[in-house]
Amino acid sequence: MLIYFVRRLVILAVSLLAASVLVFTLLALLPGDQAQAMLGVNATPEALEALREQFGTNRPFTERYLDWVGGLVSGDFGTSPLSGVSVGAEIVDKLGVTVPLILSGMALALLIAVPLGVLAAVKSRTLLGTVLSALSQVGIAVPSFWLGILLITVFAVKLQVLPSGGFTGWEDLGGAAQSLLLPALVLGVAQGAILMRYVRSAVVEVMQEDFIQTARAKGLSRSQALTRHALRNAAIPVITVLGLQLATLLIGAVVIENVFGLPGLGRMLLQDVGNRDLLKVQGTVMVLTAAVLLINFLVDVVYHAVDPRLRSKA
Amino acid sequence: MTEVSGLVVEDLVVEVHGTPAVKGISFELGRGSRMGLIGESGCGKSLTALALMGLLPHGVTASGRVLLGGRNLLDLSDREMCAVRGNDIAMVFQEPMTALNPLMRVGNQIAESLRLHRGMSRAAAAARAVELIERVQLPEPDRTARRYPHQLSGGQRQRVVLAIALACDPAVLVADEPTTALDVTVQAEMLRLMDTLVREEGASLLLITHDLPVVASICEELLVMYGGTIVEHGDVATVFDSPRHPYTAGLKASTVLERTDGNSRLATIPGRVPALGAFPGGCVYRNRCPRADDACRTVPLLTAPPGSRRRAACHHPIESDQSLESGKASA
Repeated sequence: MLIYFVRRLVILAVSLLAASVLVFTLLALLPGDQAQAMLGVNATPEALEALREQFGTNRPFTERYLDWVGGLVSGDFGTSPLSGVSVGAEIVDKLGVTVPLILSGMALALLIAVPLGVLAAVKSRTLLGTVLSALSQVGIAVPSFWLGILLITVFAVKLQVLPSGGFTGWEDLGGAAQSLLLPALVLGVAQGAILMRYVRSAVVEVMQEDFIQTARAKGLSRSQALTRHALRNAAIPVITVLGLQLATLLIGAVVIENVFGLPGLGRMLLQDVGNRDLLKVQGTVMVLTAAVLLINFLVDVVYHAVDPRLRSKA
Repeated sequence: MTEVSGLVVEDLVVEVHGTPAVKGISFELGRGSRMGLIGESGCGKSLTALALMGLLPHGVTASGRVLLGGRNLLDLSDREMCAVRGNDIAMVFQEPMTALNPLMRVGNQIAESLRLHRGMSRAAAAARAVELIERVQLPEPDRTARRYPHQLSGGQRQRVVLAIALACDPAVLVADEPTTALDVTVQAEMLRLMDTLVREEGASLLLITHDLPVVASICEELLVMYGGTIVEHGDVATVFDSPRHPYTAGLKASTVLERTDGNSRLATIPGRVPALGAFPGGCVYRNRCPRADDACRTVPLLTAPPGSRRRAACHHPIESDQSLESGKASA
């Protein structure tokens, strides 16, 4: 187990390094740099060169890369030449909105998917099972930006019980929670509907396994066999999907933060791309990539904790 | 459950989505006796086992009577049946590789049944599980109890399944092809172990198999099933030595290697087992039987000749002096 853990950690480090090269290279290849963006198309070559000199963007590629990565390792994401703010501090600030949003979205998705998915599996031969399956289809089919607008219309405009958007900051805990409720609900419904289908099919499949029959032959009732034997086995495929969904939520947050005007990482990324604040974009994309890699790492570790067959092979 | 005397099955019918797959079979499994139930795939023997356990899959229903300790198990609710399963009647399945929960230590899987029926504490059940692992002759019982199924071989897993089945001293053990999935070298050991344990516990054994020698090695009585009916019944030695039903004779011939013209070949029964619901009317075996004639268009009764306990359902049973003559029918 420990050997596996260490090996997986090494893989994570190598992946992060590869990701940093990729992110840096792709952004360096983009036409139009910050100096050009600031001075406009009519700028003189001398002025451009002077500004590049000031930003340090006229140095060789590898030097700039090593400089950037060296900073990342020590937690320094650099200072945006455009806005003059510390990129790292900005990202941390925005993560304070995005991370709670994603985690509460995922928690809602689980709260929807696990009970309903298991119920749909257990009742798969009844009308209730069919209705639940149909509902999950609807949940998948509804676009999240549309659901977001619908919820704003109902809860913010008509009922006026929740804010339509914006974020008051964490000093006002209740207000912050209210601001995040609708966006988290939108993320949760979309992901929960997808996850529910996986939960359902995993449970249906496991309940047909021979060891469930053995459990029943021991004298366990159907529900005891489900809770004591089936659920943990069904969790294995669901964990995979959960990891993928967390990664998807990072992307989904970009859309939802814009619909609800939340000052999160996704919204900032979109604005920075528009402003050609490349250093900030670079840092943000790197953080998002690292988050995805970290999620995959955690999924693998959880796998090993759940499934003893993997432990002995490693 | 000391008042349990044995298992009595009366007119058991099992229907798969309305089509009868087991067509009203009756037999009696005395306390401490060992009975073999033999037949080809699709003859209804596994459905019979699941019907006894009350574990028929969705869409499959059983009617008739399955009497154990004075109660008709088919009348019990699933809740009541849960108290019977694993306690009064237990089962060993065919596939040891998939019969155990891969995520649970085998000791816990054995202990679960003790905690359920005996209300044992966690520690007491765990200790008893180790004893049971020792009884099924697995090495290092303490360590084995803490192992996961994938760390054991097929034969070892089947011993664990047997330990689970015997944990609560059931009156009846149903074993559905318990050795079919095992290596030939392990099969004999497994059968011996099952024989010994069932004997020691004083339990009754219903051994379901398609393998005649397996039955011959540990059973006293033999039921031969074909097309959802019992075609022959008697004590193993007699039925094996001189089958009365042509199907039994065919089964026996197919297990004996015959030398003809220097080539070894196994005899086969002509034709194949019809699909469910496609058996002929009258005698279910008549389309494959070398002795069939017009009389076989009516259903033969499972009867014994005067002064004998051997029952056969055939209009033209093989008399003992005719022995194997018609059983040699080979394709």
